[in-house]
Amino acid sequence: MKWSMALLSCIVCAAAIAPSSCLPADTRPAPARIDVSVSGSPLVTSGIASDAMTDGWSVSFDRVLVSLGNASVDGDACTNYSEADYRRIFDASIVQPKKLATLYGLGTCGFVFREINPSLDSVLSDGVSNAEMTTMITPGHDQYTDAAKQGDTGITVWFRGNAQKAGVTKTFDWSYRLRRVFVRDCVASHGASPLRLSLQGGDTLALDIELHPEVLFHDRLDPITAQLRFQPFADADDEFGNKDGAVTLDELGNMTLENAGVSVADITIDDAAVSNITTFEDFVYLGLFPQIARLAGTAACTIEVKDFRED
Amino acid sequence: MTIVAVTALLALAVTRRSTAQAPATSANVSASVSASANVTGSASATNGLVPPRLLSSPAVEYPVDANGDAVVVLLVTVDDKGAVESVAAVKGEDPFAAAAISAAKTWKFTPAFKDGKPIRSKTRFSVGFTAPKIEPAPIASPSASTSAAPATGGPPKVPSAEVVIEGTKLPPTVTSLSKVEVRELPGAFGDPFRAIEILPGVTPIVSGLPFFYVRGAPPGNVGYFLDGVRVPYLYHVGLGPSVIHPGMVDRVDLYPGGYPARFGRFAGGIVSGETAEPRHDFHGEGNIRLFDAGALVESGFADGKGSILLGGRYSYTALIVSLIAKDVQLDYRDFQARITYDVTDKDRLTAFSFGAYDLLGQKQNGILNILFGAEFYRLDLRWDHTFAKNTVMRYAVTLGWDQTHIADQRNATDKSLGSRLELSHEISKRTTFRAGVDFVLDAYQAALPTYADPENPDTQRFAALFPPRNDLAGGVWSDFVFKPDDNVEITPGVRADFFKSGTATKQAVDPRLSMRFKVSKDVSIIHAYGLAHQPPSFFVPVPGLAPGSLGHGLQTAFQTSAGVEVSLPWEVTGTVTGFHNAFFGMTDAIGSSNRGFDAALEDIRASGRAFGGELFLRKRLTKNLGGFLSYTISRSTRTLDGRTYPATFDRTHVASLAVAYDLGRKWRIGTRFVFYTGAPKVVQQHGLLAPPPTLSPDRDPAFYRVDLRLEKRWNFGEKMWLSFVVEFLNATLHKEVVQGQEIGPVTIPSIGVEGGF
Repeated sequence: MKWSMALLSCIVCAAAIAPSSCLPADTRPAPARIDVSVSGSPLVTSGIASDAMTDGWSVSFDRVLVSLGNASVDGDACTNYSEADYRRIFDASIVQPKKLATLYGLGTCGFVFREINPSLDSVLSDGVSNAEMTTMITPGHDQYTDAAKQGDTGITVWFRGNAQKAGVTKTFDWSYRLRRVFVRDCVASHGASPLRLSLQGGDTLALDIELHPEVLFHDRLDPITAQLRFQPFADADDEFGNKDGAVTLDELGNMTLENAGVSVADITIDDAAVSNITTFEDFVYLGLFPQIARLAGTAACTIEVKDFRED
Repeated sequence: MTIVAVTALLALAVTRRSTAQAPATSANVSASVSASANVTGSASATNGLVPPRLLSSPAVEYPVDANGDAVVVLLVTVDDKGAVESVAAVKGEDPFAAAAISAAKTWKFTPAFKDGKPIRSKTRFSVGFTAPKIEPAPIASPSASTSAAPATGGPPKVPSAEVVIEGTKLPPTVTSLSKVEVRELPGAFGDPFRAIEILPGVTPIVSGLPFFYVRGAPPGNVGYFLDGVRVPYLYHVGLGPSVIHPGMVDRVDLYPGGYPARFGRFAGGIVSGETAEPRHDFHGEGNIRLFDAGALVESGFADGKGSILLGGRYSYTALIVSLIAKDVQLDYRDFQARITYDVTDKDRLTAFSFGAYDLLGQKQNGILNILFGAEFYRLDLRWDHTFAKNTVMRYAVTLGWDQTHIADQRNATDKSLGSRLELSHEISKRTTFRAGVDFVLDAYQAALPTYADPENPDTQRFAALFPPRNDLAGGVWSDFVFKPDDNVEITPGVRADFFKSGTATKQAVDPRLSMRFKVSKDVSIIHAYGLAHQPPSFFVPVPGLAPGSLGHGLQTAFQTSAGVEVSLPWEVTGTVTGFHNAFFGMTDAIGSSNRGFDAALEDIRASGRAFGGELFLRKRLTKNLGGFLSYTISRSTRTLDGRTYPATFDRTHVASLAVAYDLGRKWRIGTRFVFYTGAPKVVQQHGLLAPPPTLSPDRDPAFYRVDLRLEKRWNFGEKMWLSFVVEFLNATLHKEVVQGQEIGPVTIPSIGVEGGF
C-alpha cells in the first residue's frame, strides 16, 4: 500500500514537473522582405547650374552627409516583424543605392523612416570617414534643440558648399541637429494617396530613399511647386550679416520671411501649415532641411518633428 | 497599444497574492518567534520504530520576565493518537521550564509507530531560549536531515521512543524574515521574497519593481536560491506574484555581504528562501483573487514515512485583460511538487520540482507578438543522510530549464545540470565543521532571429555578448562555526571556484569571515568580511541569458561590514551597521553608464564602491502591535575610463516604516511608508560621445508611497480558517520620476479570500 501511494505520488509529481506549456517559438507566417536603400544626388557632384536657378546663382556642394535610420513599416492593417532601429550615415554624393535597412512585414503597410542624429554605433556608408562621424556625434546644440530637456545632440545633416554669381562667392557650412524627424506618407503629386505597401508572404520589395540637397534652396515649402534660388542667402550675409562671404544660419535668423521673399502661402504644404516659422532661418531649418530625403518616385512626404520624448 | 501601455496596464491589473496563512496553531508560532525561542530538532528511532513527528511548529514564547539564554529539556509523552499526554522538564529552570512545558502541551504529533502500529512514546525535546535579537529565530521545524537522527538517550524502551530536537542558529550576517512575519507586512502581499525590499541595504530601482540593488551591487549580482537551488526570477511578469507559493516558504534570508562559504558565484548578495519542512497531516490552503487563484495541499503517506505536497497558481488574467484590451494576452502560472520519503531512519529522499511560466503578448492582425515571456523549471533530487550523531549530509542533483523570450520573437534557453554535496559535522558543542562541493553546467542557446536585419548593431552585439556555449562552474567550500565561549561566535570559511565559458577559464578563491561578540546581555557586535567572485552577469537576472564574456574576467566584490545589535525595551531589537563594498570588473552596464539601456548589450566593466550606514529596528509584526523601521544612508559610485561618478541608481536615503496592529475580533490592519531620495539625473546622450559625468549630479525628485493592508479572519474549529484580505501597494497613487521621466503611478491593488485547513 505504501509503495503504491509512493508510486502514485511520483506519477502526480512527474505530471506536475512536465511543463504544461512552453513559450512559443516564432510561428508567424512568412512575411515579405523589404530592402531599403538610400541614393545620393548627382547634384552633389555636379552642382546646381545657374540656369536651374531662378536668380542666376550656381551652387556647388563640398560635402553633404545625412544620417538616417529607424526604418519601419506600420499601419493598422500591417504587421511589422522586425525593428531596424539603427542608423547609417550616408554620403549624398554617392548616387548608387546603399543599404539603409532590411525590413520584414505583412499586410498593407505604410513606410516610415527617421532623419536622426547618429549614434556611437552608427554604420558608416561608403564615402563617410571616421573623422566625419566623430564630428557628427560630438554633442552640440542650437536654438532648435532643447538642451535642457534632451541634452545636446549630434548632427543629422551636415551641409557644406558655396554659390557663385558674377564673381561673388558665398560659402555655407550648416549643421541640422533635430533628431526626431519622421518621414512618412510620401505622395507622387498633390492629392495623391500616400504610398502604401501591399506585403505578401514571400515577396521581396525594394524601396529607395533619394537625397535631395537642392531642397534647401527652395523658395517655398511645397517641393512640387518650389523653385530654386540663392539670392536671399546672399542677402543674409550682405545685408543682415557680417559680409564675410560665409552664410551662417544665424544670419538667416536675422531675416524675416518678408526679407527673404517668402510669403505665408509659401510656408504651407497642401493644407498643413508649418507652425513656428517667423524667420528665414526657421523657414530653412524647420521647413526645408527635413525635406532632404524622400522616397524615390514620390514628390513630397509628410514630415513630423516630434518632441524628444515622443516616438 | 505600446509596450509601455501594456506594462502600465499590468501594473494596474496584477494583484498580489495575499499571504498564505498558517493554520490555527500559527498564533502560537508567531508569538514564540517574537520571543526568539528556538526549537528545531532531530528524531531518533531504532529498527521497526518510527518516532513521533511534530505536526505543528514547536515554537515557545520567550518568558516576559526572563533574561538571557537558557536551555530546557522536556520529556513529552505522546499517546498512540498523537496527543500530548504529559510533559515534564528534565533539565532547566523556571520561568523557561514553565514556558516550555506550557507550549509543549499544545503541540500535535503523529504517533510513533512500531511495526506499522501506533504506539505510545516518550519524546525528549531540547528547547533553546535566546534573548530577543535582531535575527528572527527560525520557526522551529525539524529538518529533514536531522529528523531521522539516531537516539541519543540510549536504546529505546519499547513501546516508548526518545527523540531529541536540536536547534540551528542563523549566521551572524543574515537578516531573516519568517513567513509569519511577512504575512503581516503591508505591500508584500504575503510573499516572503517580496518582503526583502524593506530590509536595510536594499535599494529599489523603481517602486514596485522587485529588482534591487544590495549595498551598491546591481540586481544581476544578487543570487536567488530556494533550498539551495538557484532560481532565475522570483515574480511573475516582473511585477506579479511570487513564482513560489508563499505557503511553501518558511523564511527568507538576506545576506547583504560576507555570506557563508556555501554561497558562491554571486558578488552582490544572497537571497535564500527555505521551504517549510514536510508535514504528515493532511492540510492545505488556497486563495481566490480577482486575477488568479492558488492552492497548496500536503499530506503524509506510508505511515508517516513519506509526504507529498502539490501547489500552484493559475492566472485567469487572459480573460480579465481581454475585457479591457482584447488584443492583449497575459498569462502566468506556477507549480510546486515535493515528495519526501524516509527510506530508513537515517535516509530521506526528496524530489522537489517547481517552475513558472509567464507570457505577455499582443495580437496584431491575428498574429501574436510576445512582449514578455519567461519560464523556468527545476527538478531537485535530494538524499539526506545521517551518518552519526551530529553528522549530516545532503547530496542533490538539480535539473533546470530556463527560457526567455527576447527580441525578434525568439527565445534564449539555458539547460542546466547541477549537483551539490553538503556535509555538516558537529565536532563538539562549540565547533561545527561544514563543507561542500558543487558544480553546475549550463548550456546556453539563443535562437537566431528568423526575420531581422543582420547588420543591425543591436543584433550583432547581442550575438557577441550571448553566444551559444556551455558554461561550467564548480566549487569546493568549507567553514567552521567556532564558539570558544557563550559570548563569541567566529565563522571562518573559504571557497574556491572554477569557471569555464566556451574556451575561457577563470579561477577564484573567496575567503569569508563572520564574527559575533556578545559584549553584554543586550549588546552584540557583528563583523563580516568576504571576497566574492561572479562570472559576467546581465544587469537583471533573465532566465536563459548570461553574458559569455568570461574572457574579460570575473566580477569581484570585497565586502566588509561591522555592526551592533541591541535588545531594546518593549521587545524591540535594533541594529546599526556600517558597510563598505569594493567592486572590480563589474558588468553593471546600466549602473555604470549614462547611456541607459543602449549600453545593456555591451560588456562594460567598471570598478566601484559602496559605503554607508544601516539602521534596523524590529518589533515583530506578529505582536498586537509590531513593526519595522529600516533606514539606509549610502553612496554608490562607479569608476569607468578613469572617471568616478555616482552609480545610476545611487540613492542617498532609503527608509521604510511598517506597522501592523491587531484591532481585535480577528481584524488586523497595517500600513507601510516607503521613502527614498532620487537617483542621479542622467542626461540621455542618445548614443553621442558623452561629456564626463559629474560626482554631484542633479537628482530626480524623492519618492514616497504608502501601502495598506486590512484583514478579517475567521476560524472554524481547530484547523480551518478563512480570511478576507484587502491590500494596496502605493495606495496614495504617487508617481515616480526615473531618469527625468515621470512614470506610474505604479500601484498594485489586491482583494481576495484565503482559506486553509
